[in-house]
Amino acid sequence: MAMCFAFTVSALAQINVTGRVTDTDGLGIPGVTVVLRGTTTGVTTDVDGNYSISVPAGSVLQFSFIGMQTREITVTQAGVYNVVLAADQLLLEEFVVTALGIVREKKSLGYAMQEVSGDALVQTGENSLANTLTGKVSGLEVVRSSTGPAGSSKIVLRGFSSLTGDNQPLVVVDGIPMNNFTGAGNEGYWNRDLDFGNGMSDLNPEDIESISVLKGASAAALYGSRAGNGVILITTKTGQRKPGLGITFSASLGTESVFTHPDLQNSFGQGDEGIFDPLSNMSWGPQITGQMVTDWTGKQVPFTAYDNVGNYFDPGVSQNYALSFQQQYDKASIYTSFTRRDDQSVIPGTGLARTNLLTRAVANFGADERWTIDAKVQYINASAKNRPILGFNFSNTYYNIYTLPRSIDIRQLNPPVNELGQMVWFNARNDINPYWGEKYDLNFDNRDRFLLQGLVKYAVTDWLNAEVQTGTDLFTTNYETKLYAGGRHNPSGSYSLSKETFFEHNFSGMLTGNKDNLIDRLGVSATLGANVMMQESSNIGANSGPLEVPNLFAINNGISNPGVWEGFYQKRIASVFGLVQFNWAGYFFVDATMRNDWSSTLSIENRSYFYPSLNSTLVFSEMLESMDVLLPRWFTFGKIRASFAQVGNSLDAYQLFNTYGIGRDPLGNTVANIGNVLFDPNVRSELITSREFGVDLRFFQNRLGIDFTWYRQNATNQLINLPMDPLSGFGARKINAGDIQNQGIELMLNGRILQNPAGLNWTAQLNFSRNENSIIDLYEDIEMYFLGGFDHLRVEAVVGGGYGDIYGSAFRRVTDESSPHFGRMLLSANGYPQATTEREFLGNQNPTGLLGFTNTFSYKGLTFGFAVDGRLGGSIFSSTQAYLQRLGLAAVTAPDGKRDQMVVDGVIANGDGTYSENNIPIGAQQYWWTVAFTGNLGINEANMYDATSIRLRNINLNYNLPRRWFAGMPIQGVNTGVALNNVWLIRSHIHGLDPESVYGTRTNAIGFENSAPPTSRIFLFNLNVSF
Amino acid sequence: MKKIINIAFIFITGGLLLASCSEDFFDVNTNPKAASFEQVQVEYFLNNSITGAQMDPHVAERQFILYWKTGSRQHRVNGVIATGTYNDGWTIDNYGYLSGWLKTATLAITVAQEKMAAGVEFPYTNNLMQIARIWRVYLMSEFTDNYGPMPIDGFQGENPEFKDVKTVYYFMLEELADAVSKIDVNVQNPAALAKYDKAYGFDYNKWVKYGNSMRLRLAMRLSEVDAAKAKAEFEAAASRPLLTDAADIFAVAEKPGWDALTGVMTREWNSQPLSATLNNLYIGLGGIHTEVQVPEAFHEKIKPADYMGLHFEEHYGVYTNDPTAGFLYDGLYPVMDPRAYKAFIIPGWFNNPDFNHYPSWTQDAFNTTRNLLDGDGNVLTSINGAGTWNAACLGAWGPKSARNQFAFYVGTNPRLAHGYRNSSSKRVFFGPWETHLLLAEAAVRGWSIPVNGKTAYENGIAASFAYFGVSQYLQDYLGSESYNRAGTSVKWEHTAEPPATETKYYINGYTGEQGTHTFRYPVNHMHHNGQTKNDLLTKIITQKYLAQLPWLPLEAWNDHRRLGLPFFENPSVELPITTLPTLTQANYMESRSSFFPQRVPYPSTLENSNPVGYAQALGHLGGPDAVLTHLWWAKK
Repeated sequence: MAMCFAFTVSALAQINVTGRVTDTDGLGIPGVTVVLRGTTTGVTTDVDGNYSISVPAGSVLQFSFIGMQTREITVTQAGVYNVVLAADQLLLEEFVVTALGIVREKKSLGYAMQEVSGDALVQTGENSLANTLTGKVSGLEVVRSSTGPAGSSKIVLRGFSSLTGDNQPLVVVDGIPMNNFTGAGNEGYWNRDLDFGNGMSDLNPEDIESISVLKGASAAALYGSRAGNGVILITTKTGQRKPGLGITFSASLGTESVFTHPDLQNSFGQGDEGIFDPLSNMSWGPQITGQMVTDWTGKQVPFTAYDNVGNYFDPGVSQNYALSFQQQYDKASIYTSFTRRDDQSVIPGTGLARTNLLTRAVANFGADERWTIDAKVQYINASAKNRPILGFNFSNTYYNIYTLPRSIDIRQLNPPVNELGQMVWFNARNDINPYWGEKYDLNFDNRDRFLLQGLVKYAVTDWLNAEVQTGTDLFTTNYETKLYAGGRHNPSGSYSLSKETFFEHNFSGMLTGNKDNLIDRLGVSATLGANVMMQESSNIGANSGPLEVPNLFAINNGISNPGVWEGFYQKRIASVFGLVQFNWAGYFFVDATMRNDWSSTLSIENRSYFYPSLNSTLVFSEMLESMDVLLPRWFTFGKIRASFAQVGNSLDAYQLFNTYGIGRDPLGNTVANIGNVLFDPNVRSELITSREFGVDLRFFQNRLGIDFTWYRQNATNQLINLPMDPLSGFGARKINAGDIQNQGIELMLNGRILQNPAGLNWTAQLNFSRNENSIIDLYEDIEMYFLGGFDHLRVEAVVGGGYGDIYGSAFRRVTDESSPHFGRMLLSANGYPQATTEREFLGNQNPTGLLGFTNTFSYKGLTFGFAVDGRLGGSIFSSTQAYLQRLGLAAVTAPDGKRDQMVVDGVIANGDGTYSENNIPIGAQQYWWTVAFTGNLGINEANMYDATSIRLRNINLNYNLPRRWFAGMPIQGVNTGVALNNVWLIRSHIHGLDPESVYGTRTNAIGFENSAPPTSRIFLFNLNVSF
Repeated sequence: MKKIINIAFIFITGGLLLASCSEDFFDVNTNPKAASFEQVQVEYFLNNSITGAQMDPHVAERQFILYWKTGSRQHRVNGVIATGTYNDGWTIDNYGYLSGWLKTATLAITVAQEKMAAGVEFPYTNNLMQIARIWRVYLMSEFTDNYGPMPIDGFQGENPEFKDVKTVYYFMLEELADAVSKIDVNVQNPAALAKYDKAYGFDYNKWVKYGNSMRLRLAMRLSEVDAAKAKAEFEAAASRPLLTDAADIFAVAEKPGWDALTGVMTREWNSQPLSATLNNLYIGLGGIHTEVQVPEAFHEKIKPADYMGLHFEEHYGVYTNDPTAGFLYDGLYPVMDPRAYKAFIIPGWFNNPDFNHYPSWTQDAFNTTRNLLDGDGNVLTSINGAGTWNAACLGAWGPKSARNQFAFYVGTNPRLAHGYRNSSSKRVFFGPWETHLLLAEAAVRGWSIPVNGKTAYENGIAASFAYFGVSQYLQDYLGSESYNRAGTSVKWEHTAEPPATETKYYINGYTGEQGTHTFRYPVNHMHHNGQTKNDLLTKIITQKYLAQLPWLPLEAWNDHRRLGLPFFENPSVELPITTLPTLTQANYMESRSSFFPQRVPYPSTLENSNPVGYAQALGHLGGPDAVLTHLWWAKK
């Protein structure tokens, strides 16, 4: 191809044209595309704005550059043609993709939405698509699970509104909804299911042209039922006209290291009450003074504290290779790409591999090119091995690493198997040796997924379009677990195998009419459509139970009959929807939408539900201009907007009537039961109502932009499982309940602080959002709804309070306001802290504000960017810290390397209503056992932390190699760069724990942390070559 | 324009919408995997309930091991319920599992009723329903004896009302009487039915006996608070067919694996050592000499009767009324209840097939030599536990426990026999010894029953001896006047109290010097205000406590809560135990019910899931929802 290209250029009778492209200030502009009109032949200007091209005499050259007006000149003879490009004032006319794929002028929107370009996502170097959005969109919070590279991340827009749902927005890829399942099935405290990642992370960020985030119900109303929490609208790339062949190869290589982990003390070793014990799992032993001890293997070793976290985790390596081709040929375009990603995480043995193939073709054809066809095939294979096991669980490697006594060297536990084939561990407990777990407690999953889309559009007249679209999200996931013999919990090992298939088909048709100046300056556009959604899922699995023949992983090799399970569901929704838009003179817009759904999962009486939306925008700057009111020069643009919307949602399948289930007992005899949720055939659809108001202002020729939104969203009639006393026969019942209100503001500032095409450019974006969540109502006299937690520690939705209020035991304090000791800690007669017996309010899990600050600097071919984001306020309970304290591992248990007796600051009741100052010394071990060992989680207040974190999320440096370096080569451009992720935790309060390592993403109780793997820092080198 | 209308027609009223409006399109909301009322049978539910209640290892460890066995001191776990604490996570699981078994038992009853109402029953349907009622009473008794107040009309699909314990007991007694009376023992079952009843294979005569004996058990529970009701119910049931033969035992076979039928005591990390409570009852009881019970190799380890052991006051908790506190016994006691060496195996007796080697991944069970350390962690002395017999008291020993590597170690302590731990036994829910000993207690109370007290007492011991395979010692045992460490003997007629003190000798573990020790029998203030140690009731409950081991720890705990019998030593309080606030270094020689667990608090989820019921429960409880709050029938 390269040869061919060279031949084409040299074969024609050519004239040589050179020159310099400058801006109105006379500065050269690098990177301007100079093409021969109507062809793909072209060059780009160098760093000084110079260009040189050979073209046939009489050709028309097109000079184009983003942000500048395109100019054309005719070259008649060889020579120098200097060109000046003026800034494009029409840049305001941004077009964005909105609901149903309708491309609209951003100024006409009556609701808040934000678009993020695909490039910006790729630059972050994050491996999960959800994570790439961190800090980029105001009001969008990414909740990470910290379960390694294949772990899930949850996107929350404008706060939590649903009590039991996953609170995630609907993900739509090229008009077709995509299943964005997230988190683990069971996120209980002790035994958790694996976190199988989230559906959206199957996508390859490099295939994405842009992501539109439709935050509120107004933006999303047209998507119906599932869009109540907003929509993430993903548009994949289509073929664009490219100079050269249009082939791009990119490679990135990353290394991963542990970013932060809990602070541990280094002064005291294994043992109890100051006495060394090589079998103890505690570090309340003697001070480390360089003495020799006999360790658990019987060897004499120097008594030392080890860096077990550092020694255990490996440097992770990630590799990503992408080859893509895109080009436009006349009226047809094609984009196709192949990507392979391999992630070996810092967690030994854990990895993710993903292969993506995408081909999308768009063509206009027929008479007057009235027909358009857009077809896409996307194939994904994602396979993960050894997803981390979390929870307070013998298999939780991280718990076992963190809680290893300080004076045990984890490397001594490797190799993890002794000569008898048994797991090696330093005492008789049933913990799992992390080295053993990574080799012999294995899980695998592999998903094959297709996302298909086909659309045919026909321009019936110049004002009327018709289109039909069909699309499918189809996947099969295979799961396998292998537990080898030799472990402690199940010494003979076990095996399980399961398979899940899912598909969702959507068929839709739309008619769109559009007439400007229908009456005077009134334009009207209307869309009428219908959609049919069919969803089906089935799964089957089997578990061998304990194995008969060790390490033979076959379902029928169990000591007992294998356990077999199966599941199936079907759901269908049919909808009709309509959209009417009025526009007056291009500055006043009113939109109305309506949608009616019929859902198969509700009763015949409640099957149909309707919901409308209405929004309006006034671009007052343009209105004033049209009324010949002169605006000050610094004022460029201004609009206000308001909207009201409702979105309904239906139920899952088979949740109207209780039925019997049949199973088998361990001897193979039949048993029967009824499910654990009591159904009510009369439940209705959910309803989310949202109101929104916003202002968008821009100043100084667009160099400063301010976008402000206020919203209020009420989620009512929620379909929840209200917990019941199991003695009722059911653990919960299905009801319509609740009125959960989220009210907040979003503020976004955009600045092009330095704008100098030939010199230094600086753009910055600052976004801030604040959401206030309140529970207006739950159900009848229910005041609290349990979201998650354990023992005394409970995360609740509380009527009159917030969603995610954290309650638990507190320190007992003097409550007599007349006492001089009011508010001080009330200690026991022995001088120990005491816990309240009642649960007290300890905090709320939600941040009071989210902050994102992104900066990009460019100088000629060099681009440098950094992003800071912050999660301000909110509380989190750390059970990891409680464990580390009770075991004598946490740094706070040996301040300054000492464990002196302490006198707790507080008072002791005299029994007559008066108090005396405490002066009773107690040992450090007694103190920490009291605060961290009472019940399961200690006195909860002791381990509540401010969840605020501010971090330098990433820095990146990219360089566009000067064109002249490879002049004469068939290379169109080379870009190389480095990126560093999780650079610096500027502020955090949890003694080394990353507040982002929350417990799970399916649970809505995110204010609770428990032994998650450490978060990682990724350094990425990337190279991008286009031909 | 016509074209436009055509297209509009296609899109809007076309195929998509037609499909949407069709009922077939929506008719996908019936779960193809679910069974209908016609498809389910009563025995499926009953099987589910009885099988589930065998407890899979997860719930067995929480309920059976950590609460029941620990609370009843039928093994030694130094903490949890024995020292007044509980674990909400375990409780949530236990409550959920037990509710599930109660639910399927109730479904067996309601489905049977509906089948009969619909006229689609089998000849045996009514009998199955009565059996389900008897079985449900047992499960209710598990529930109320754990928590206290509970509903008697649950499982109706709405949050039930909680009733006081008295109402619950009256209900259970009434249910038993009524259900037993409605079983028609002449119904012939089809052969295929038996597999759905893992206890009795639907042998109706056995269910009748079990139902009547259950009524004795529950009636006796009211002896201290409602003696008239207890007497009336007991007498009514005592003259009916009772569970008195070994063949009638209510027991379900365990099997290996990891499911509901897997043994309840199989988790290898629970070492299940002998408790000080058991040891004080075993030592000296029954007059059978150790020499005839153990192999010759151990005979040299048998110590004189007046030997206390090695005294290590800096290594053992001593702020306790355990009469053995402070001593390490470096040999075997000369006289032991013969069940002791069957139930618990002497450390170092490796060739005993019942020697338990758990955890199998360590050599801990085979390592019998451990150290006592000084305050700096240096080895003070090394002790070989092979052929020794120790059971240290519970408590917060403070630094003493860190210095003592012997007292809590696997290889140096007698631990429960392997046969109970490897899923090779049958889990016993009701043994014939219990019926006999209940009858004996009734006789002592002067109730009108068809057997005299002595016969019933001796029958109970005989049944237990038969179960443990030590019947060869029975006659000597029954005639023994030898006191155990709690001051109790076996012989029915021998009610003479032991002397207040006995002079014994000991060896100072630190210096090797011999010294004289004045041994005092412990005073149990909960029984006759500490006035008697060898009365008939103490004898009966001592025998019952030893006979119930290891399968019926809940009943052992029930008897202690009801009567304060047998003698439970106080946990040692070198450091304060915040969860037993009334036990202090000033009163540790007293024995008070506030020093011992009285119940399990409700799971924290109940307050949320059934606020009305929880409030009712608290009202009936008459105290805080705490471990130390007494149940209605308990000795305060």
